Amino acid sequence: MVNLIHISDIHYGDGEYKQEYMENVIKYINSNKDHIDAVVCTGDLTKKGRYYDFEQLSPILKRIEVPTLTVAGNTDVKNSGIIFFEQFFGPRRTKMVIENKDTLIIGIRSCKDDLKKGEIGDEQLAWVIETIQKHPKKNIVLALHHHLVAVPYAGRSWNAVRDAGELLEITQRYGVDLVLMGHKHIPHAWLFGETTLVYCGTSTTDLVRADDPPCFNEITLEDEDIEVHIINSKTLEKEVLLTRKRGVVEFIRPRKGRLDHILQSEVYK
Amino acid sequence: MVELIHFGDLHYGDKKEFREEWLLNVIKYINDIRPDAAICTGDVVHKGRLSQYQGIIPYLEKIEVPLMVVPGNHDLKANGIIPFERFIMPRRSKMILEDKDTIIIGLNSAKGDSSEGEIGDEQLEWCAFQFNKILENRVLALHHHVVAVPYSGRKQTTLTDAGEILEFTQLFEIDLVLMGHKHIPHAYQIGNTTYLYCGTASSIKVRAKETASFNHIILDGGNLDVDIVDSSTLERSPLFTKKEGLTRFIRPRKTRIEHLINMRLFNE
Repeated sequence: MVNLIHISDIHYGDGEYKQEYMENVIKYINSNKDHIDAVVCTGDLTKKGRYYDFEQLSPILKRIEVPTLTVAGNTDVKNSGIIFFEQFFGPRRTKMVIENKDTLIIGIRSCKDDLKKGEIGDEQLAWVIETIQKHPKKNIVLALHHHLVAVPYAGRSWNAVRDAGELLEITQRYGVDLVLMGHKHIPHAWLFGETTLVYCGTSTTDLVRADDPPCFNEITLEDEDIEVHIINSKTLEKEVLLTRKRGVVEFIRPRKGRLDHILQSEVYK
Repeated sequence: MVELIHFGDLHYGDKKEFREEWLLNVIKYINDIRPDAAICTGDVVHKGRLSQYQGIIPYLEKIEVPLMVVPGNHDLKANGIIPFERFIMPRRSKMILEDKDTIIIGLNSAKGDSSEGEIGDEQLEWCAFQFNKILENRVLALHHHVVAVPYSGRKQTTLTDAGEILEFTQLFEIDLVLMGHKHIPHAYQIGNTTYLYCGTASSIKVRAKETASFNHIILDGGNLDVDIVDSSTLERSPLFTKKEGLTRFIRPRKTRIEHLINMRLFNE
C-alpha cells in the first residue's frame, strides 16, 4: 500500500495566496509523515514564474518532511520561469522510485514558455515509456499539470494537452494506475479503463471555482483499490472524492454544477 | 439486445477521395444484416453544398433500416445546416426502439465554417430531458471527440465543453457514445460508458494503416461487442469487447508510441 499527498496550484506571489493555508498543508503532511510515502505537487507553484517567487517559496516547501516530486505548471514557465523552476525545484521531468512500496512516480512537463496550452511532445512520450520499462513497478503514477481529459466546470478554454490521445494510450498500454493533474483548481476524478485520473484543487489560494474549497488530495493506492480524500486547506476537514475497489468504482463525488443549474433554471423553458 | 451500424465521414463530393463503391458496400452490408438502426456520425458531404446534399440523398435512401444522421463540421460549411435539415433531418434527433429497450440521441457539435466542436447549454438541457425516459440501452451520437484519441494530430478535436458531456454520460448512465471526425477507429472506457470512434466509411482519407471502415455494434445491457468492418472487403475484426461491465478487449493502437519505441530517437 502506498500513501500519497497530492497538492497543486500554489500560486505563490498572487494576492489570493494564503500563507495560513500553506501552513495547514505543511502541518497536515508533517504530522502524518510516518504513513505518507510521497508528496506530489502538480505545478503552478508561482504566479508568474519570477525568480524571487521561486526563491521565497523554496524554503517554505522544503519544510515538508516527506520526499516531494514537483512538476512545473503554465504559470511557472512565464518569464523564462522554467530556468528558475529547475534551479530551485529540480528537472522539468523527473521520477521517484519508492522501492519498499513497489511504486514509480513520473513527473512530466506539459507546459511551454508563456503559453497556456499544454503539450507533452514525442521526446517526453518516449522518456515516459523508457522510464516505465526501466523501473517495472506494481504501482505506476504519472504527474503533470494540464488535463488529459476535460472536467466539468473548467470553462471553455482547452485545458487538455494537445497530444492527450498519445498519453492516454500510454496509460492504457503500460498499466498506469493513477494520473495526477492540477491546472483548473477543480478536484475531480474519472475512471478511465483501469486507470484513475485525479485532479487537485488549489491548495493554498482562494482562486477556487464554484463551492470548492482550497484543498489537496490524500490518496491510498493498494493493488487495484484506490481511495482519494479531498482535504480542505482551511479547516483540514476530509471528504471522500473517490473509492475504487478491485477496479470497480464504488463512489465518485458527483459534480453537478452546470448540469444541475441548467436543469433547474427556467432559461430555456 | 440491440444491433447497430455506426458509420460516418462519408465526405461525398470530394472528387478525389470519395469512393462510391465503398459507400455502396456499406449500404449493402447494412441491408444484408438488417441492424436495428444505422447511425451516421457526420461529415456526410465534403463542403456543405446544396449539390452535394442532393447527390448523397439517393444513397442514404437506399438504407432500409431506421437511420440517424448528426451533422459534422464539413456538413455545415457554406451554410450547410440548411440543406442538412431540409434533406436529411433536424440537427438534433431522437430515436426510440421500444422493442429493443433502446434510446439513441443525436446532437449537433458542429458550427458553420468552424472545425471546433461545442454542445452548449441548451442542447445539454434538451439531452437531459430526452434521457429521462427509462430504457435499458442508452446511446449518444455526435461528430466531434469528447476525449482525445491517439494519432489525431495537434488540432483541438475535442469539444470546448467536453467536461460537461463527460459528466453527463456518467450522471445519466449512458452506455455508448458514438463519434467520428478524425477517421480513427478507437474505443475508451470511462466509468460504465464506452466511447467509440468510427473511421471514414467511404473515402481514402484514412490515417496511418487504417482502411476505410465502419463499426458493427451489439449492445446488450452491460455487454458490448464492437467489430470494425472494412468498407472495401467487408471483413470484420474486433475493436472492443465488454462483458458485464468489465472491459475484456480493446484493440491496441500502436502507431506513434510504437514508432517512438522502435526508433529510439531520443533515448540511447
